Amino acid sequence: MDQEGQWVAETLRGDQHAFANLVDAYKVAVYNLCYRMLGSASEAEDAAQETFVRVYTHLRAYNPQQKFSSWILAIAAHYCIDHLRRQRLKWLSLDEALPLSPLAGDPEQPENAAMERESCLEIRNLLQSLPAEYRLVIALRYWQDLSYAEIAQVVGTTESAIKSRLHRARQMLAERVIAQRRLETPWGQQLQQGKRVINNAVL
Amino acid sequence: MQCSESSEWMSLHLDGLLDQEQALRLEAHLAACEACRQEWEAMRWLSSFLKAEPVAAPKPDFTARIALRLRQREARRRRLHSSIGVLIGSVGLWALAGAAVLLLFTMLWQPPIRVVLLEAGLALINDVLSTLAVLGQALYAAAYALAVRPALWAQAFDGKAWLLLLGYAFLALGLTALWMRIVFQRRRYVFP
Repeated sequence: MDQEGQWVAETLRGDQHAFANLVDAYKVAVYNLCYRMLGSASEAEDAAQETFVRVYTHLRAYNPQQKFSSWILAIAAHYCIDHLRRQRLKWLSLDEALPLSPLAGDPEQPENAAMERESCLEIRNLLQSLPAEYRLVIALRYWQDLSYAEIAQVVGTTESAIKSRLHRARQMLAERVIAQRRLETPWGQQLQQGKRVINNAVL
Repeated sequence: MQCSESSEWMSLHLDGLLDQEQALRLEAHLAACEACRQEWEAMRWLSSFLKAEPVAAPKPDFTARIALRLRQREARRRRLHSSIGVLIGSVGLWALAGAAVLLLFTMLWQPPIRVVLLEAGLALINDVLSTLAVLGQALYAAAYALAVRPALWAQAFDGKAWLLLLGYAFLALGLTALWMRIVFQRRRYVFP
């Protein structure tokens, strides 16, 4: 039996240390996936914790034939997609007169300061522009370095579906990058400035 | 090659999934098509940009906080179980105590006390007590008869009334046993 299988068996026998080993082994992968999906450190922390609580309570349902990493990432992915769906419903049901504070991020998070490098912010914005299902495949491909087959297992779909989702996601991101670059050209800057003038005049 | 196909191939090429011939065909198309070349450059730039981004890590006390959360969860579960146990156990004890009180009352509900109460004018209480006494007497008579004449057991066992009585006794005993078990478990948990 491999190391993970042993830890799983020991956890099922009630050994808390074995479970702590499992958490240590997967916390970065799970947290990173949640962070890329949700785009906020505090939400990612909550989501990652909830994922491990679910892993603990559903450990008996784990099929040892499956890769443990795929199983645990699938739980995290489902949780994040559910969370985003709930959030969207909540936003839809809220009064539109509310201030748009969530866009400001969460500055009270201390580790946020270190995370908020410019490239990190840019990546966050890029990822958040994608639909959740596309963001998921991008996160699994780039940070988890999974093959198409492994991503398909985590997402619970076929390899060809993953192939097309990755393609669509990359295409959407590329379109955004191209549009952004256009704005950075002298003509684009003038266009931006023009928009600002109009905005100032109207608002 | 169509532009839509070329776009799909670009994605595969980034993951190293095109064979040499396909890669050459893609390159040929890119050399000829300005729009696709622009898309390919953006995709390639993005890919290296994402690859350069380090993995985000949680706070150092992440594992400890999960352990704490699991302990809290377990404590909540135990509390819930023990309160259910105490509730069921109390019902069991009350059921047993009720039967015992009824029997005791039947034995004591003899003329001297009865007359005293009746003279005090407590008619309503008397009615209620009399009804209870009838029930208690029936229970007492049944228990007495069964104790004195063992031959009755077989007959009683056929009757539905006896089954009812047996069921009641089992229920009361079972609930009490469960309660005792839970209380002892809890004691072991609190004082290991």
